[in-house]
Amino acid sequence: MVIQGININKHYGSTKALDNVSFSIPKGALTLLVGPNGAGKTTLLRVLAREIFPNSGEIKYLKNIKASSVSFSEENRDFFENFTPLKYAYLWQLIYPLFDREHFMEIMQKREIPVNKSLFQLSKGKRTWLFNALVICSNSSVMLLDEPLQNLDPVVRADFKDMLVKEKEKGRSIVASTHEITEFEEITDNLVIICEGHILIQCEKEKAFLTYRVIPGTETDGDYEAIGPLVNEKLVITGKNIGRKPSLKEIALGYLNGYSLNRQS
Amino acid sequence: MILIRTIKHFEAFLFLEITRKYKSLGLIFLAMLLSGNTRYFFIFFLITKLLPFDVHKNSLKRILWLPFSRFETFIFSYFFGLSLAFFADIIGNTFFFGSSNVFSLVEITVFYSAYFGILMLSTTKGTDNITFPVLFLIVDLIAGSVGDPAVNKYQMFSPLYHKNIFYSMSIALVLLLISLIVFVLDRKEKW
Repeated sequence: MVIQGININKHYGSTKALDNVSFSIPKGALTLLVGPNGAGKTTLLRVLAREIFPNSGEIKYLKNIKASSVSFSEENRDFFENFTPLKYAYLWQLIYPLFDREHFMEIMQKREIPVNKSLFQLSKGKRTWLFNALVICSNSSVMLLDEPLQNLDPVVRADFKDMLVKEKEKGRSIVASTHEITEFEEITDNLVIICEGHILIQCEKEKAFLTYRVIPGTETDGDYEAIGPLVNEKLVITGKNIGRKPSLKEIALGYLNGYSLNRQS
Repeated sequence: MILIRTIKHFEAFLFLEITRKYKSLGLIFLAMLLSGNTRYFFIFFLITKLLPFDVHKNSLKRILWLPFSRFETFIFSYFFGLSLAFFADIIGNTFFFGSSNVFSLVEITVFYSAYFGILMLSTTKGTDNITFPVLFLIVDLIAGSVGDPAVNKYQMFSPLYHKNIFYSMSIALVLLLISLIVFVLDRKEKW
């Protein structure tokens, strides 16, 4: 494990953003953080990036993980005044010792992002690309990406996912928070479902595909544990080969719907 | 290793500050250069444009998304501003107001440290970077000017009058230290 969180609590005033959350981030894998808006995904990433501190609990980093071993691209792509992509590259070069400037310039050129223009003049998609490129080129051991596919067109998304696979193969750990579960299904290794500050489940993708099944919603008898409803169907845990294999999105939806039903009752 | 990393981080912080704020910092530096005895007024405005500005405007989070710790951010901002004030004093006094001396740098350190601390406390605790510190400055100014200067004991401790360098420096450093602790341990982050 590269990072391990134990009983993390974080509140903003009376709002609990993270409620007794425990998790682990494996090395050389992509961990997908999934949940509705306001679930606590961004807060968790901000805690991992050491921007904010939990009110209680402990985060253990692998021994060689220093501050400059973690890079973060946040959701709003907030940027510094008077900065251009080239100035960002210079700044990141100073603070990330392994920053690959040549690779950064290649990406900028490939995506036709003008390196001398103010970030105000770049489209939202290009800003997303810029920050994704900075994180990739930082060569940090841990990459934290908040909605990394936001405003990117399908071709660019495919390109970015290919890059993530290559980075994983180098042994870098990636944590990506997203609503676009289907886009990540193929390249994800771990799934973390979070809702109202609680982690509902953390599991390996391959294990999840063996554990969960989708069966008709009308099915009432059988050897299974119901997790939550889907449209006309339901997500269940079973050791038997019944129903069909779920997608990652269905696992997430099943858990979130089940949580919401439990809360109502 | 740690020293090299700290130097790199400081360089990055300077680059960040100068690129973002070169217009306002340049104007204030020029004003400090040419202002002679009223330099403290512009040093006060210099501080309002440093870290207290970022805390108040919630742009601190953008700095902390990079691998800067809160402690580093505070220290880097403090020394960056102090160096600007020193340069302005040395260059200004040398070229426009006669020669500079070490004593005036110590006096600047007293004023700068105390007000950096006050502004950091004010913004970390959620008020803005102007109102409370200006009120404090006015109170400091009035309290030190009341009565006969020879018997006004407040002037001994005042960051503005600093009649006794030892006492006023002690007060300034205590304020600075408290603000550093409060800032580093602050857990009331905004969304």
